[in-house]
Amino acid sequence: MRVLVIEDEKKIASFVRNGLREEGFTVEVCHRGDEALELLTREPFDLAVLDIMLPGRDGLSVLRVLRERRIGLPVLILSARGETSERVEGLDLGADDYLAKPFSIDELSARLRALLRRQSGENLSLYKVEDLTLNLVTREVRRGPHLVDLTPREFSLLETLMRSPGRIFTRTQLCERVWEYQFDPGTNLVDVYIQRLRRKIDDGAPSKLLQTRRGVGYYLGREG
Amino acid sequence: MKNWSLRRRLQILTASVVATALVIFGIGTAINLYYEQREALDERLSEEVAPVLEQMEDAADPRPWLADPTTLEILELLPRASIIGPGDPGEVLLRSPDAPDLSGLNLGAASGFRTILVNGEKVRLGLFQAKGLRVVVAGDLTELGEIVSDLMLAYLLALPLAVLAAAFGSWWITEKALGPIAAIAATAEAVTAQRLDHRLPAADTGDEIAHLGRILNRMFDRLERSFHTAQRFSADASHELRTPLTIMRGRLEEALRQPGRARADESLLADLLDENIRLSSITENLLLLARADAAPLELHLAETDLTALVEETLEDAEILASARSLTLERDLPPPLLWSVDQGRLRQVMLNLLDNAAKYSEPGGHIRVTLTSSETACVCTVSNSGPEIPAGKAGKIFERFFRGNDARGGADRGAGLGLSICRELVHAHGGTLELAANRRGHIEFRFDLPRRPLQTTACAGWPTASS
Repeated sequence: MRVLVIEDEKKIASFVRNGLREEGFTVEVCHRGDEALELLTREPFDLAVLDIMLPGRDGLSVLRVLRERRIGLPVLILSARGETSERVEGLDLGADDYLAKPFSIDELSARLRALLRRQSGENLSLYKVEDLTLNLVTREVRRGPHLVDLTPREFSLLETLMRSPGRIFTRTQLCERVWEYQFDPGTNLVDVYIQRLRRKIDDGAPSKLLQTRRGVGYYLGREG
Repeated sequence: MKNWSLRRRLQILTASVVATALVIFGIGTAINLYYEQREALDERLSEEVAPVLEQMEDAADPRPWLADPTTLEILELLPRASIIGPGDPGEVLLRSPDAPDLSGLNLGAASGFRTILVNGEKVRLGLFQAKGLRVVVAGDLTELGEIVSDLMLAYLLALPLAVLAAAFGSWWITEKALGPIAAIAATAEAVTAQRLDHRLPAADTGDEIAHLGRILNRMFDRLERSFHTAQRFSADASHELRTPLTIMRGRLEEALRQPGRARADESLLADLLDENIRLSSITENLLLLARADAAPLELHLAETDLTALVEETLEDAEILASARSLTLERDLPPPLLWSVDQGRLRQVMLNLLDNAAKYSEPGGHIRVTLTSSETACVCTVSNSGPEIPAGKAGKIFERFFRGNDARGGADRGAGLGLSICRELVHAHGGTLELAANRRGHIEFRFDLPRRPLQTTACAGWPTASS
C-alpha cells in the first residue's frame, strides 16, 4: 500500500513514515503543498495523509484541486487547529477522515487501514486476534466458539486493543482513547476494566491474550 | 425610589422642585403684597388727615376749633377719625360717625401707624400730633386681608396645575433627553462576540449624547480588536503548542515500540508518554475555553438516548465508587431521546461523577437523577461529602480552581474540569450550577433545554474513540 504523507514539519513526517512502514505501508514524504499536488497527479498512490498548514499550497486547496481533477484516492486530513469548522470544510471538500494533532501513530494506521478496507469493499467490521473476534456491526465478541458478553465500555476498550494487536497502551492512552477524558491517574478505572475484561475473555481459555507490561501498560496478544 | 426608572425619578424630582418653588414664591408674594398694600393704606390715611392737621395747626387754640361747624364738616370727610386729648388714655374729644371706639385705649404719644385690636377687629391706626392733641385715623384692614387671601387662593388653585404641568413636561423632556441613551443601550446590547462590528450611529449634534456615542464606539473598536487578537491567539497557540506535542508523542511512541529495551527505559518512556497526553489534554481544554470565550462552542448534535448515555457513565461511576466503598444510587427515566453532543455530554457526566467520587467520604453515596419536562431535562449528581467552604463554593467553576483534595494527596487535575463542564452545558443552552452545598449533600445540577433536532454536517463523523 503506497501512502503519501504531506507534512511540512519534518520531525512529524519522520515518525509518521517510520510508524507506517512498521505497519507495512510503503511511505513517501513530501513537505510542500504544490509538490504534493504534482506528485499525486503524476504518480499512483493508495492513500494520502494531508496536513492543512503547508508551504506552497495549503492542504485544503490541495484537496480541492485533487477532487476537481477527479483524483479520488482516500485522503486523511491532519490538523493542528482542530476547529470543528475546519473539520467540516475538509469533509465538504471530499476528505475521507480527519485526525487532530497530537495523534497516536497506531490511531493513524488503524484509520488508514479502515479507509483502505472501505475503499476495497472488504469487511471492515471484524477484528481478529488469535481465536478472539470482535464484530463492530453486530457488537459480538467471541473467544473461540464462546460468546463473550461485554458492557459498552469493555467493548470499546477491547476494540482499541484489538485494532493494534501487540502494541502496548499506557493507562493514560487507554483513558484518552476509550473515555476521551482525563482521569486523575490515581483512579484505577483502567485497571479495573482490564481485570474485568481479562476475566471475561481469558478465564478458562487455553492461552492468555490480555497482557500486562509492568510499569508500562497493557497489550493484546501472546505473551512475550 | 431605588427601583424607579431614572425618568420616573426625574419626573418626581422636577414636580417637587416646582411645587416647593411655587409655595415659596406664593408666600413671598403674599407677604410682599400685604406690606405694600398696608403702606399704601398708611399713605392714604396720611393724605386724608393732612388738611385737618393743617387747620389745627393754623388755629390759635384747637379746642374751640373743634366745636366749629366747619371743622365738623371737614371731619365728615374723614368718617373714621377721632381727636384725642393729651394723657393716656386720653379723652376722646371728637369722633367721626364710623370711627372705632378708642376710649380707654393707651395709644401712646408717638406719631406713626400701628395695628391694634378694637372689639376683636384688626384696625390700622394712623396717629398724628397737632397742637398737643392727637388725631387718630382708622383704616380698614379687611379689604387688605381679602386681597391677600384671594391671591393665596389663586395660587393654591394654580399650584396643582403647575405641578402637574411640570411633571408632564419633565416626562416629555426626559423622553427627549433619554431616548438616545435607550438607543445606545439597545445597540450596545446587540454588540456581542458574534456581532462585534456593530456600531452606534454617529450623531453630529455635538452634544453629550454624541460624545457618549463616540466614546462607546471607540470602546467597541478596542473590544473588537482584542477579541480578534484572542481568537487569533487561540488558533496560533493551537498550532504552536500541538506541533511540538505531536512530535514528542510520535517520538515517544516510536521509542516505546523498539523491541529489546530495558524495563526501566520502557517504564520511563511510558511515564513520559502519559505526561505528554496529560499535557495535550490540558492544552486541549485551555484552547476549548479560549474558543468558548470568543464564540459559542460548536456541537455535533444528534438525537441520543440520554438514559442510556447516563447509564453508560454509571458503569464507570460504579468502579470509581466501589474503590472508595461508596454506594451508587440512580433514578433514571425510561429511554429519553434528546438532541445532544454525545461526546461532550459524556465528558460532563464523567467529570461530575469523578468529582463526586473524589470528594465523598468513604462509606457515603453518590446519587444520579435524570428528569424531563416539556421544555428541558434536568440531571443531578449528588454525593455525601463535606460541604464546600463558603469562600470556595463561589469559585469552583473558575479556571484553575482547585479544591482541597478529600484524600489528602495533591490533586493532579489542572482545575479546569468544572469550568469546561459549565461551558459544555452552556453550549447546549443550559446551565450547570452547585444546587446544594451542605454537609452530607453536595449536588451539582444541569439542565438541557429541548431544541429542535439539528443535524450537522459532522454527525456520524468518526471521533477518536470510534
